[in-house]
Amino acid sequence: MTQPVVVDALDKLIAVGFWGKKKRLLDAVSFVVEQGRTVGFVGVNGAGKSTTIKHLVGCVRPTRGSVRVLGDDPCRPLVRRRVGYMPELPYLPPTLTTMEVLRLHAALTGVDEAKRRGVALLEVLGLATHANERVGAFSKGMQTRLTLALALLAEPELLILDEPMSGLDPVGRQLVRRLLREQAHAGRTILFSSHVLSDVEALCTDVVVIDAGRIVYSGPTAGAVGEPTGRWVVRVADHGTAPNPAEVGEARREGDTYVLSLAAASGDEAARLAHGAGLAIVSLEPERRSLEDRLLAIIGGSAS
Amino acid sequence: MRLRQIGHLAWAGVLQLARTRVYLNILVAGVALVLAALAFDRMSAGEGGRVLLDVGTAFVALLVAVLAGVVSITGVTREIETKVASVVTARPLSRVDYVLGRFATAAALVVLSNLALGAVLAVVLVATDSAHAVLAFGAVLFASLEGLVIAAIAIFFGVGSSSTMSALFTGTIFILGRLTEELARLIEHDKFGGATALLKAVHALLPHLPAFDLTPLAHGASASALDLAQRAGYGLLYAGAFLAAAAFRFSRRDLL
Repeated sequence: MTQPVVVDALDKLIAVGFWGKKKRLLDAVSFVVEQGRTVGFVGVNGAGKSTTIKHLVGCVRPTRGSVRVLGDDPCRPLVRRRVGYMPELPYLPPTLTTMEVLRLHAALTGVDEAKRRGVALLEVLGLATHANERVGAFSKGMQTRLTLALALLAEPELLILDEPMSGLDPVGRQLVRRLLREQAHAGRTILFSSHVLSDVEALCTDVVVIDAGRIVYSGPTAGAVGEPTGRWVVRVADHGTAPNPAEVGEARREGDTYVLSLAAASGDEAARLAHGAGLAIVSLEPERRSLEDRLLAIIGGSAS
Repeated sequence: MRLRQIGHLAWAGVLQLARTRVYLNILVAGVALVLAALAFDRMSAGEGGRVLLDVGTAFVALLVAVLAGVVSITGVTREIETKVASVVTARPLSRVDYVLGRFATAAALVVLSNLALGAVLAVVLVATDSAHAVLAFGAVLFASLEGLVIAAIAIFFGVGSSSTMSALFTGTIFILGRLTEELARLIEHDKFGGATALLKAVHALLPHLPAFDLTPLAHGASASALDLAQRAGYGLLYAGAFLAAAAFRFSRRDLL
């Protein structure tokens, strides 16, 4: 089976300033997105996420290296019929209404069902009551939702989303997360960039980390977040008195339990520490690095 | 399929530009200028509306050229600068089709404007008992070709430069294109020595915009159907060449 996205040794140099001095945006970027996976594309501002994504939708041509999307060159229009793209900002023509934008993009996709599906998506994304309003008057969150609807119009095999949660309120974020999960369950391949690493952790099977135009990590999300920190998360029963901070450190109350973070070489040692403090253990698990910790470590490592 | 996409893109462009007020302002200015031509006519008593015809069609041609440039630059350059173009071209739409869609927008607005302004001029001529109303309407409609040529030139510059530079380049070509007959006369008199060959090349490359001005017919000049067809063919070929160059240029541009 063809891998939906194959980026191989991609370099991008652009000319800047009056004298056209060359600036390197991407440096030998290589990664693969496997069929049916949800891949988070993360990195700090200016790392090269959007530039890479623009290569995948044919907006930008490589200086060197190659990009294959669904087995084809993304600069060929036909392959883009199978790709849904959401840009980092909702670049919409402000004087058109929601329905006019929808009609235009439905016609451009070349898929007969696109308009009908678009109307249904407006309903799902809470924009149906704004169908005849000009998009220039929309809030950023509403424009982001409309842009997402446009990306999903043609039921694409591959979704490429650049910061899909940007500018959304908590309800909107929840909605988009649900939509992305549904798309993933339907077997679609998703590549999305985000600064919100909790979203990436929650949604992605794989993660690609880019820093200063170079890929510094590419692999399963579990591999990026799974490293133990050397501490143990111990949940203990609440028997009327709080655990003594002098013995086990600060405890956080959760429902009818207390949660402790104990420094220990093994689970047995953590259990002994808890029992020694007279606590009844409910559960015990190793504390793992968050994606954010790991990302900072990876980027810090690549910079040094 | 491609025609449908181009048609939708063109229609969306017409809606966008018609709502930006720039288009309406230019159109209102055109009507005002046509009405202002009446004043020139009053100052030249006994000319039977010829001055009104000359000044009116000249004003309309100028306005439509400005409109063609503004509409094309707004439709393409602004759309590239605001990154709306990158979203549209990320669809299964070739860059060639994008350029054609934007040209179709400009062409539709140019023809619509010429129809409206031609009708206003014809009404004014009829109201002043001039015998040239039909000719004036025909001349204004034929001048749409000039608008199409200017639109194609503006799109060519628009796909590769900023709005300001595109306007500057297009305006320069428009002014030089209006002076091609004078340039031809200078070349005939061979006053430039070794630079004559270069000037001949420039003359050949510039759009011969006076070819689209039919007002001399009102002054007794004659033009056969073949002549008119040749002028129209020249205009369409010239616009086509610039569009082809624009499509080639745009297909190589990164939309970062």
